Amino acid sequence: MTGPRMTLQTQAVLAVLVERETWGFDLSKASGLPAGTIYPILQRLTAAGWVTSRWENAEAAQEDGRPPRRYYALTTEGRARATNALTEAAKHRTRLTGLLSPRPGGDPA
Amino acid sequence: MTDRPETPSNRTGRHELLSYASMRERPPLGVASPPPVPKRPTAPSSRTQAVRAVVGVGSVVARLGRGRRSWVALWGFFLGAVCVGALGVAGALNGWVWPLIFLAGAVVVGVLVGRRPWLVVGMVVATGVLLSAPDGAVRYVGTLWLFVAAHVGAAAVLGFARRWVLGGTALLWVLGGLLPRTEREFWRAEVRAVLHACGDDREVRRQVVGFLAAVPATVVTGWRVRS
Repeated sequence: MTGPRMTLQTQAVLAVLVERETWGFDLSKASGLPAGTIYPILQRLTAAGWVTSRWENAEAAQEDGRPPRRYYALTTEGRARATNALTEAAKHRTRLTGLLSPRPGGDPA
Repeated sequence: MTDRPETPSNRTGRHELLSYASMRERPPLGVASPPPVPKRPTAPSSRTQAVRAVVGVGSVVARLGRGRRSWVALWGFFLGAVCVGALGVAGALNGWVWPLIFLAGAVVVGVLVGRRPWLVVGMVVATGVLLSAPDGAVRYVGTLWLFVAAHVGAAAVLGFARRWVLGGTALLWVLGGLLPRTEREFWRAEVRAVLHACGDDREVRRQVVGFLAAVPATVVTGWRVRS
């Protein structure tokens, strides 16, 4: 299966998941994206086999007086692919930034 | 230790992603961040002030529409204002008929609104002023009445919509029905968990708007990965 498109939002989600296993709200805070935007990204990553998810213990959540959370983590294959994809995307951005930055001593006209 | 380039803090973290390698480094503990620069308050523009004034008057008028009797009075006032305004703008009223209609309206409003003598007195005085006004002023007064009617109508429509249109969270639950059955319960549980964790109303609104805006993508992806 081909990997998901490496949009900026997907990269932000993968950058957080590479660091730790996390859940929706925490992922939203860390990536700066609303949780609604993250959900379809996680759906695509799960379908591609990069991410796996698990529900936390319902009793533990009930003791804390809150709804149970769904935790997302990268699979082994997903971690390798995510690291590669993020490195490639960073190289591409560096190349673009270098192309777009103004050159010193350029002709103003 | 390499110097990290200064990047502005950004909600989406785009600027931080521009140097992904630098994300793997963290600033040493104890490094104080620069204090925030206080923003100088700017006076709102005249357009903003005008919009606020209109919305403020509209919210006052909308309160008049509560209860069946006041609802009838409100819509009656709206229709009356439209008719009088249109006739005035079209020049279909003579100079002396116009103030008499205004006076009759003042009496009706005074009867409906109840013990508000200042309202009736004010409208009677205004009628007297109109009696002395030239015929050419009738068109301007007609325009004013049309403006009032439009305002009253818009306020009434907004008040009605506010009562019957679903709130954001209820709308989310309804829209969740578009998802495949298994995905639907996961998504709703996710929404529940995220909204429960939000600290304040502003965060709740942000997350609800985020979920609502992402409904089309979520539905399409949900059905696509299912197949």
